[in-house]
Amino acid sequence: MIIMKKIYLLFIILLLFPTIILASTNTKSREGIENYGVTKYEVTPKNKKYVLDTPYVDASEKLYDFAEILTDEEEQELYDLISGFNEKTGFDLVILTKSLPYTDDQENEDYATDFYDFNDFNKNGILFFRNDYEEDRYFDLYSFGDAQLYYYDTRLSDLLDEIFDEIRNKEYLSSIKHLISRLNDYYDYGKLENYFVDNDGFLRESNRYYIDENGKLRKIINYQIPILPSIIISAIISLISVASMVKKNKMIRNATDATVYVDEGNINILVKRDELVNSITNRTYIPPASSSSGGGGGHSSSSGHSGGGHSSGGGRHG
Amino acid sequence: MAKKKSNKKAETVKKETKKVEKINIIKDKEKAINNKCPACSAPIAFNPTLNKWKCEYCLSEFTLEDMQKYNNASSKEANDIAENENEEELDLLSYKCQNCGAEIVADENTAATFCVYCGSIAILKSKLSGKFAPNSIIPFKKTNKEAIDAFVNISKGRPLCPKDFNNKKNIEKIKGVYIPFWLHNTTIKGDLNASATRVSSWHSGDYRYTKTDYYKLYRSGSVSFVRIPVDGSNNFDNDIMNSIEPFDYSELIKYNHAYLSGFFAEKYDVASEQTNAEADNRALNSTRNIMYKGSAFATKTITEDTLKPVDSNIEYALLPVWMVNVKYGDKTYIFAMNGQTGKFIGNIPLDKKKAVRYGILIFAGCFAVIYLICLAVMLVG
Repeated sequence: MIIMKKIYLLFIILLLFPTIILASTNTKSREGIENYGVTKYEVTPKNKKYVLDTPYVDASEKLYDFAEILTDEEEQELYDLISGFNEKTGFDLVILTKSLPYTDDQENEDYATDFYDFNDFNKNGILFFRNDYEEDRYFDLYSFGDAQLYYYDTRLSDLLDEIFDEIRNKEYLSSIKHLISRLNDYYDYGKLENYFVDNDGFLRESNRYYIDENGKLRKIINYQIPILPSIIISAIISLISVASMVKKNKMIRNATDATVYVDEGNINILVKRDELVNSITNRTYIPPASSSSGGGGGHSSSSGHSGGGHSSGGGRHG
Repeated sequence: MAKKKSNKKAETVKKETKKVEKINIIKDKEKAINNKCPACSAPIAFNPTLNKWKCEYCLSEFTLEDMQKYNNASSKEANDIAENENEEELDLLSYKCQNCGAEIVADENTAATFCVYCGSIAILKSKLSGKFAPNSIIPFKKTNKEAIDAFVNISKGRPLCPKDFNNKKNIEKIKGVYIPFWLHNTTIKGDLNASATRVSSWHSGDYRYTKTDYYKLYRSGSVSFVRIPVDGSNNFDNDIMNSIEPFDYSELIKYNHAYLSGFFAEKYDVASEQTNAEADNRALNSTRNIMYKGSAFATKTITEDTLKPVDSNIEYALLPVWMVNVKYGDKTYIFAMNGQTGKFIGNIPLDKKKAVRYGILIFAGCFAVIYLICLAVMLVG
């Protein structure tokens, strides 16, 4: 009877085992591989530690569920959608989950961007990161390379807002499906005009920067100096200066007071009283300064430890 | 008929002769004083640098005491006696030079001058006697040369002074004059009340708050003034005399006509009462400033002002001024130097070309600086 029970238990364990294996994610060792498996950046003594700390994964998997919040079937369903997105846009789409204790939001960003930068993903891509750390759950979206032109900070922030409730309710499959569908929509909306991405992966304004013939980023100097105000200010200063010179030539002045002849010992001010009789306070409404971003504009942050750039949605807690 | 006519003629001639004689008599009586060197009897002048009298012929130097001893300077009695003289005589316009006997012509206000023929110093003492006797005097401390130097250096720190204006050659006339001044001692007393406002503003949230405090200011008291000078001669411009102020009254000494030798002097022709208004106004303005000193208000309206002069008295003093007439182009410019402190004043004509040049230069400089700052900001930002 006891033996039967043990066999039954073993059977159940054996039955569960493959499911656990499939749901977990394989990582590889970076030792002995050229440039520690990093293809987009140079490993330097400065960033080597971070490279080694970053899990080295098979870049073709696209779904790295270290926090184990998705089932196999869910992953398969999402993988198909990711492939579809990749075919349409040419951008990589990576889903990363992890239960990572942190104190500062920046730690999440560093972990996620290092993961993207130090693995062999496409130069242009998007990473969705879910930190399932139960004390303070967190999620954010990051875009890299040319994907930043379509998925710049304000759009990423909007996307995070759209999926916020679903993520908070741990409806991961539907939220990520929703996300991928909206990523497709945003691609169709077109890219940011008057911006480009430089060689280091930073988003730049075309009217302020350009890439020279050697591929170096150069600043465009705007020679539009406010000429008219400069002329007016110069004219005022020049007039005041000349007026003060003219005044120096006129030394004859009528005397209107006798301050130098005051007998200092004979000043008797008997009453010196200031009485406050009334006080009126007026209040004027000042409308707050409107921030007219005009829908455009993007901004790249410096990625974790790669030296490259990326855009971020700003992150959400929940 | 004809006899009658000739008689009449003879009478007229007689009358006229008498008149001429009378004038001659008065002329003889009214001789100019010429301070003489006690050692060699040559004319002697006051030397501002030494603060003594120095004879240019025998090089002897004398103090005021020495001069008084040799009867060259007025003693107290001399002034008192002079007071009894007939005032009618003071209107005379000609005097006899004690040195060469020539006639010295001076206007009715001149009290000290020079003989045009022999250059001797002539002090017309009666002009500064009696009611015209000054209480005090500040002797000259600055010399003719210092006045000329001050004029030559006037272009320093004044970029718009015409290039050749401060040339010594342009000085047409320079003379040291003792100018009659009325020195007003007065006390201003009374109440000075006003209503005033003070405004403060601050931001809080989306609102700006502006607070206006209304005050009633009460002031009462008195302020005394010592020797506010007002020029007592119509010959000199009041503004010029205002501009060379102040004099250092610690060097004000009892008047003695001996100090006049070597300089011109004037007697007052503006009565002391006529100068009250100017002195009082200056004292009133200063009193108001003193009463509201240290009270900063946005607006202030005087509601009650009972300030008025009380306990006023006036002293008559001769104060030293170098008058410098400058001819430049076809215009004459008047400069003056405080003969005691050396303060040199006057209006210098404007070099318009220089003004335009400086204007353009400063404009270009400012524009270049602003341009470079803008460029730097654009390069960095």
